[in-house]
Amino acid sequence: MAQRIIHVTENGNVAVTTPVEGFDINEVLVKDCPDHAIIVDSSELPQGDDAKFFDAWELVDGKVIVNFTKAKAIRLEEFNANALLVAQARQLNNLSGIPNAQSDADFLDSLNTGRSAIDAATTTSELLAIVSPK
Amino acid sequence: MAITTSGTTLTFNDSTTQTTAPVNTNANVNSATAVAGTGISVTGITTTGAATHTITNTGVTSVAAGSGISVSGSTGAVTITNTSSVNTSQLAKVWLAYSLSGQSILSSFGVSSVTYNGTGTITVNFSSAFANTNYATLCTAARSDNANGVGMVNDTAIATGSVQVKAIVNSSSLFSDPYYSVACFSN
Repeated sequence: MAQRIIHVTENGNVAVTTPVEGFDINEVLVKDCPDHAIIVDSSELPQGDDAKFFDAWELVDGKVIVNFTKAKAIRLEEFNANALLVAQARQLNNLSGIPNAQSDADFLDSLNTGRSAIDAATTTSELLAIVSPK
Repeated sequence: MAITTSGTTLTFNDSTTQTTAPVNTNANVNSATAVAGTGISVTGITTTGAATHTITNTGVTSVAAGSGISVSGSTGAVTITNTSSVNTSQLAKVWLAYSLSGQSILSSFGVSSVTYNGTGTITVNFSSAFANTNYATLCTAARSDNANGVGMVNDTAIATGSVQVKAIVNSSSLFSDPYYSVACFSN
C-alpha cells in the first residue's frame, strides 16, 4: 500500500508529501517534513472527485476530509473567474461589432443557474458536474 | 610435468615456458587439435613429432584515443580518461517530473520527496542540499486541458534543501491536474 506524509499548513490546509521511490518514508518524514507530520496510507486520503478539491481538505481527528463549505466556495470562485473571462470576451465582441452566440439575458441567466446549482450541491461530484461559463 | 593424460584427454597444465619438449607417453592419445576462436588464431599445429605450434591473440591489440577520451598505454595496463570539457556545473543537479493527479512523482533525479501544499504550489525536497541558495531553478507547468500554464519559482521559499514552485494558469481552473517540470543547476 502506497503511503504519504501529511501535515497541516499555516493556513489550515493539508499538505501531502510523496517520497521518491527508493527513499525510506520514515527518513523523508524526518528530513523533509515538519515535526507534526504523520504517515498515512494513500487510501485514507480523499478519493475520486473529493481528491480534486485538495484545497478544501482538512485534517480532523487524524483523518483527512473535504470541508464541503470550503469546496463550494472554491467552485464558486472558479465559476466566477471563468464568468469574468467570458464576460470580457463578450464585451470585446460588442465593441468590435462581433455578435455573441448567446444574448446578454441568456448569458446572465446561465450564470445565475450555475451559481444556484453550486449553492444547492451536496457532493463534490455535483459541484464538478456544473458547467462553467464558456 | 608439462602434460598429463587421463583416458583420451591430454592436458597442458604448465603455463611456464618449456625448455624441453613435453613427451606424450600415453598411447591412447595420438592426436591433438587446436581450434581457433574469437580473437584467437591457430597455425602450425601438427599431431606428431617436434613442431612449432603458434596460438595468437588476434583480438584487441591497440587502444586509440577519441574525442574527449585520452589513453595511456596500449598494451598491458591501459588507462582510459575522459578529457571532455563537460563538467558537472553544466548538468542538472536536480530534476523532476511531477503530476498533481495522485501526487505522482513520474521521474526524478536528486529528489527525495515532493510536497503538494495546495493552490498549485509544490515543494521539491532535495536528496542532498546545495551548498548555498545561489542555484538556478527552471520550472514549467503544463495543464491536462491544454490551456496555457506557467511555472514560477517562489523566491521566498528557496532553501538549500528545497525549492518551492507554483503553477499559474490563465483561467481559474483548479481541477486541471498540472504537470510540473523542474530542474536546478549550480556550480
